[in-house]
Amino acid sequence: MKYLKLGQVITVFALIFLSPAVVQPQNSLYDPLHLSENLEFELGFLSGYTGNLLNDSVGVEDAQTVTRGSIRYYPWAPLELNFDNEYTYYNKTYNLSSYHGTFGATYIPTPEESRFSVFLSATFDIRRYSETRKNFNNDNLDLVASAGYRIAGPLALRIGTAYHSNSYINSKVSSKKKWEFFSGLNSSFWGSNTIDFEAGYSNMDYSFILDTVWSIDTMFVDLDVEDYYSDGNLYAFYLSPRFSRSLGSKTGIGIEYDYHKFSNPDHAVILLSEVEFISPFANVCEGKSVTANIKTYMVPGFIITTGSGYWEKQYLKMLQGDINFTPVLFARKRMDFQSRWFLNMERPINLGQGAILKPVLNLDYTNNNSSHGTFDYHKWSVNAGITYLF
Amino acid sequence: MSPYLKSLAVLSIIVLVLSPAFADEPKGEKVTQSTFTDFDGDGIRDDAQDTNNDGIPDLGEPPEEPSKDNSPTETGLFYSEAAQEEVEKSLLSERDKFQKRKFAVRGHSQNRGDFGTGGFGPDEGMSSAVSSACPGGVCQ
Repeated sequence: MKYLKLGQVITVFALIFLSPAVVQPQNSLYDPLHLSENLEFELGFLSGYTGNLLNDSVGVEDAQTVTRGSIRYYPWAPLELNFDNEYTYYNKTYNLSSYHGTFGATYIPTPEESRFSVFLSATFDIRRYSETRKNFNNDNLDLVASAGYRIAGPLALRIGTAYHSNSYINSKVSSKKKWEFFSGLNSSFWGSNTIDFEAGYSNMDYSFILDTVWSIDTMFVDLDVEDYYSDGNLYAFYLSPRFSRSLGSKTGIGIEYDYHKFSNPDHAVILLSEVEFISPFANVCEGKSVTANIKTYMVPGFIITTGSGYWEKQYLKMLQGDINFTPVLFARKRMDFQSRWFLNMERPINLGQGAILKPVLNLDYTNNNSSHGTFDYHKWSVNAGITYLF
Repeated sequence: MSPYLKSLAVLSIIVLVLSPAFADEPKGEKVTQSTFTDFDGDGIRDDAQDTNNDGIPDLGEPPEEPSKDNSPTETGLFYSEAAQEEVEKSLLSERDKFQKRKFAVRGHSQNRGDFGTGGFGPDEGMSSAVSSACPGGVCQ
């Protein structure tokens, strides 16, 4: 909780002592750093209810509240510095409440008129849970470098790389480091039709139990579960074609297909506890998906987005049951078939002098069928939030 | 996915691509093949103007009438488009200049990779209110 308090103190300090500059006259003698023009503040508040918080067959209902404060500073045209603080509180499952702090820098050295553009960013963020879930506390570092080139008119090419380090500070075997390389093209044709194709390759180092290990014994042998783990690399590639176009002057539709494939996962076994909610491998899977979104500005003053998607996901082999009495040989892959639908309504209000209020309302339905009964579930969620940008 | 659903999906895309009825141009704005760009995949042109900065582009609305003052730019006295652009650029704050650069790199500042499912739905839509709307902080 010390991180939460630290984050709150810094945010309040910044909001109190720096925000007056926003309403002061733009006089260089009074405001030598032009803080009034080059600082941006954001306050966010969201409250919601979900019929299945933990995404499993138990179906725990809960309500959540999220508060957020962000500061962005632009000392120089190519550079943005940002500092975000966010706290999520759960009403019943309060030990899942967490603090999320982010500090990042984005550098764009190329001018906007240039056909060739470069993007560089570095972000460090921490997530801290309450004492009872401190095993999930993690630190993350993200580095991204990418370049794009607009060949002619509507045709643009891109290439990039990203590094992600995810360190679970209270666990020896949950941390992951990942490199990604991606490349893509975007082109419009016949008016407002647009195709976008992206392909990429990822390499992640992680810890797992080899399926040649006969069994795990922590009762009669002086070993911890972590002593049975090996280190290795997981390779994956993906293909992602997307088609989008306008439907009239104020509405657009986008359809995307994604195919993700691991190249060498067959000998890796992880524990069931590692794929459960908020666990390190909860979102590591291969498979394919089709999603479609429609966005419209037809209702005056509103941005309305709705979408539907279908996923086939296959996770790494996992060992369930009591690990001391279950041979590793019994580990099986989990296969999920998931469909989702959502509706999002946003009503931005310009308050003048650069201040914007953004109320948002959201509905979401998920239906998940799994080869593992624990993960057979469906859920409804409703969220309402408001952001004040100034 | 059944073969019927696949066929239906392919047919729908063909109809969408070929249908000229949907491709009407916004009133007051001329959209040419060379100007239409959509890097975020929402089907709506990225560079649509938003004159009142409320986050909703002026799609289908007639452009605002230019003000009728008697400045040199209106009278044509010593007026040059390039000079006018230079003046406008010099008046921009560092924040505005950064936003213009950010707009120029929107096509490659994010990718759709990762080892799991990509961003979809409210996890993205709610991002204006919170950095991650996924329960517990992990999107699944």
